[in-house]
Amino acid sequence: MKNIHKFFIIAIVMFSMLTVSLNAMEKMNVVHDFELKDYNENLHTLSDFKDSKATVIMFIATRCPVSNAYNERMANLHDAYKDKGIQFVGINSNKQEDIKEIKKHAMENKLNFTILKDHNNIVADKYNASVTPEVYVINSDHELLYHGRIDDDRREKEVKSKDLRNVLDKIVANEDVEFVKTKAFGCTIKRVSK
Amino acid sequence: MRRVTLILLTLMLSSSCGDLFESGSGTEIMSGSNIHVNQIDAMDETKLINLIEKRAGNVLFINVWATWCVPCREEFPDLVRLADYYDGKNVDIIGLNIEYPDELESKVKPFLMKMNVNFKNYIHSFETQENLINLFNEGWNGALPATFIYDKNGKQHYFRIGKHSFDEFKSLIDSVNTAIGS
Repeated sequence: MKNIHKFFIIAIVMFSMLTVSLNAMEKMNVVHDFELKDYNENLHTLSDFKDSKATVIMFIATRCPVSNAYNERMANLHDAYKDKGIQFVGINSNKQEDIKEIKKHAMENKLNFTILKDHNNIVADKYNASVTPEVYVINSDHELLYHGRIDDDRREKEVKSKDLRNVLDKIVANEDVEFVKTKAFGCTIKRVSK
Repeated sequence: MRRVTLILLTLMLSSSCGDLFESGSGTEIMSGSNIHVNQIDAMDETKLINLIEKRAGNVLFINVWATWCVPCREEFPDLVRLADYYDGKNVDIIGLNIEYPDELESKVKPFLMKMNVNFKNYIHSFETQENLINLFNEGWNGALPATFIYDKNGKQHYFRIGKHSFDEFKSLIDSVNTAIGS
């Protein structure tokens, strides 16, 4: 009987830990470190970028029409902010998009920032990322400053709110940034079955 | 020789038109008489709230989709099957497309024709995507497809992201029906 009680207590504790882990990032405003390889097999961790003012982590895809609609905007953002202390990192968590395809896509679309392959969507799970494109902005203390869309419209000419750019401008200007979350339609990240 | 050329030309033409006029009720599609293709109304915030609240005794199943979304396209035949199965059984099957109005004729309608759609579809005309997303569910990040199931009192029972099958949806709809004792 005691063993059954123990089992239930352990099960409840484990379930609570899992729930906290999934929601912790936004509620506690901290982010998980990660270790992933880029398409040239070089290893990167989030801590590698700790000397920058902020790191922009973008969950992206090669085949998602929404993510692809943002290729030029992502390249332009990187060009505009790379010399202002902002690091850009792309993460591809889609199970069907391999390193070769990611590299080709990056070359073709002039995505000159680091792009990492998230095999088995481990980082997407940790970050609770669900769509492409989906962006997280993190400061040098690994605090989450922004989570959501790049801007509010797939068509650049229809954009009314340049959400990511607004946050980055504040960071570059050393202004206080309060955590903001936004939403937009995107392609579901194609995860492996676990 | 002329005869052979004519036969070859006929075969080539018929094969190239195959994608436009798929099997099933091809005659209906070609004649343009499918009301669910021809009448795609705009859906704004007020209309959606009315649709959810004024249930008239029916369960509501809403699927949010786009033609650019591969799992949405893959899931669609199961939605057609659901609409067929629940026809006359107090369940409203509704589609809400989130593309641009200028894509209605070029992308949305051709896809619905190809699917031989048998349920009502709308195209979104919300002021912002975020308004639409949050009105359905605050916990939804905007990933497509997304499906929402409401009971006959307008209470949301289920919210599902990603592609699901006829059997999965049927089980959810039936559990809502059972829960409210209809």
